[in-house]
Amino acid sequence: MKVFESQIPGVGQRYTLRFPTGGEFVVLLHNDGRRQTYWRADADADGDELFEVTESQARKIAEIFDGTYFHPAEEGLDDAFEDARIRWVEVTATSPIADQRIRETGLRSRTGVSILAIQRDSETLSNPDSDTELRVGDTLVVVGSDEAYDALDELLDA
Amino acid sequence: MATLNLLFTAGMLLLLLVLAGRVALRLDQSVIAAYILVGIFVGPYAPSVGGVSLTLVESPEVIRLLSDLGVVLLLFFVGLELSLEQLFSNRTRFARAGAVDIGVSLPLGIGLGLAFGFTLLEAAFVALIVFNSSTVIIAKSLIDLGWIADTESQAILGVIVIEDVITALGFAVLSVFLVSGTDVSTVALSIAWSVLFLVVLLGAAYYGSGLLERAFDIESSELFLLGVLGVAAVVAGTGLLVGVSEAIAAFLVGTAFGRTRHTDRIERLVAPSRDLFAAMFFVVIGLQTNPALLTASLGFVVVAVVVTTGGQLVSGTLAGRAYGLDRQRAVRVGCALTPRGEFSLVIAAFLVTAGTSPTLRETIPAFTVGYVLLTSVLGTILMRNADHLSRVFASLTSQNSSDVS
Repeated sequence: MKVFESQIPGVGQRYTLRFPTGGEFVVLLHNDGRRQTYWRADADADGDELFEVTESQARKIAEIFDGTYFHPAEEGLDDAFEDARIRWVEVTATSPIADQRIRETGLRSRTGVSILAIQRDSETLSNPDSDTELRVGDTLVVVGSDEAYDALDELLDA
Repeated sequence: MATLNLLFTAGMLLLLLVLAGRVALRLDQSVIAAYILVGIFVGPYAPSVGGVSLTLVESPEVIRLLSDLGVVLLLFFVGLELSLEQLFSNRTRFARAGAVDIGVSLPLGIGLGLAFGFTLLEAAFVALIVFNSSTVIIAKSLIDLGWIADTESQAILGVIVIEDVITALGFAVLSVFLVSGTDVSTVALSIAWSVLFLVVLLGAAYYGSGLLERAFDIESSELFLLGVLGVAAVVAGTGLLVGVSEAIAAFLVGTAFGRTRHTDRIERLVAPSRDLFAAMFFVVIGLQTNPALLTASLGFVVVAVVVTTGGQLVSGTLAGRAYGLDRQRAVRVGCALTPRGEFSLVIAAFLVTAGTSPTLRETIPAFTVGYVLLTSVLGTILMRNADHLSRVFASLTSQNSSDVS
């Protein structure tokens, strides 16, 4: 499947997905976050508008396509582990781990905390490998015991 | 009666714009024409109804600053959204389509200006005004009609980008020659300053994007917004100091920002300001339009609309064919390219203050307002009836060929 991208001045971005079996799916991504979608049976046909969704609805659809969608558990995830908790840690400009690879930070060996995922702008890097660089503005989704968090706080305050 | 204070007047004006804008959108029209009409009807030349003048804003000076920022931001965004990479990736098709469009429309415009009895410089300005298709109006119609998903939209948007580049270039060159005075050395010095400024700015826009990239790594959204506005306004103002249109300067600043990673953030944070200030610009255009001058130039306007819309229909359709579209889609390209709007008005507004002859200061701006009002409405109507039009063309040509046989 081929994807074509083009800028629409004053509107936003247009993506055309050409299916090998014929037919084109067109997504118009407005600068204000709305997404309009069109279907064209073949390259010569006129497009029919399919539906319009908001940014958050689009994200949900994307997760379903991606196979990563899951219903959030009723209770907080905090209770899912006996002695470990999930926390969100922001990488600030002054943080000693900013602009380093995960391996270089030695986060796991020095504190016992593991990084489950990195939230970067609007995307989520799940299960990042040790070569992934931590950037300023990233939000780290980490898991660890209370002791591990104490060690983490010490490391970040240093 | 108590004198109205400025805040009240501004509020009334905004509400009138909302009202007029809603009517325009209901009629599937662009809001530009609606804003201009509001300006005409509440400005210093407003008509009286039952002995009561409708004048709400005595002088455009009150909102002049907002309007100037509107010009700067309008052209800043044209520069920002200029995606030359897309043109280059398909350059032979776009070169053919662009060459047809420019080759027909520009000479037609100059010929029109000369036929009106204008000087060559004045005719050249007229040519630019009747040449530039309105990105704002066309982009809206493309979405309204659903053409945005079809192949012709690529050709239309590509030709618009080419037109914007040519217009900006032509406007920059022509504005340099707008110098008053007869003293040869002063004139030469003024031209030299303008050219120097443009060259330096062009270089800065090309090589300075790295610097902009770093300088605008600002976390705070409001400081980012103020910074972008500040840079654009300072450079545009410097342009005015040395006799270069503020719009061209802002356009070049926009292209510089377009080469940084900050484009998306600017779209998000600065576009709302652009919409507000641009509305004020269109209102000021209306405020300073004397309906008497508008009716005086009506003859010019009608002739120009007939000639250039006809010319654009032909050149646009041929451009579509040159791009490789079938006839129906090529006719759509022709129809889509007919509306004129913001860029023509920006040139006209520049002439009001910088014009060196009464024709440039009064006749051409009044002509432009009438011309934009008519073509913006006519253009959207043509777009909606494009497929009908191409069927008429088709039946005409098939009749011709059957006559021949």
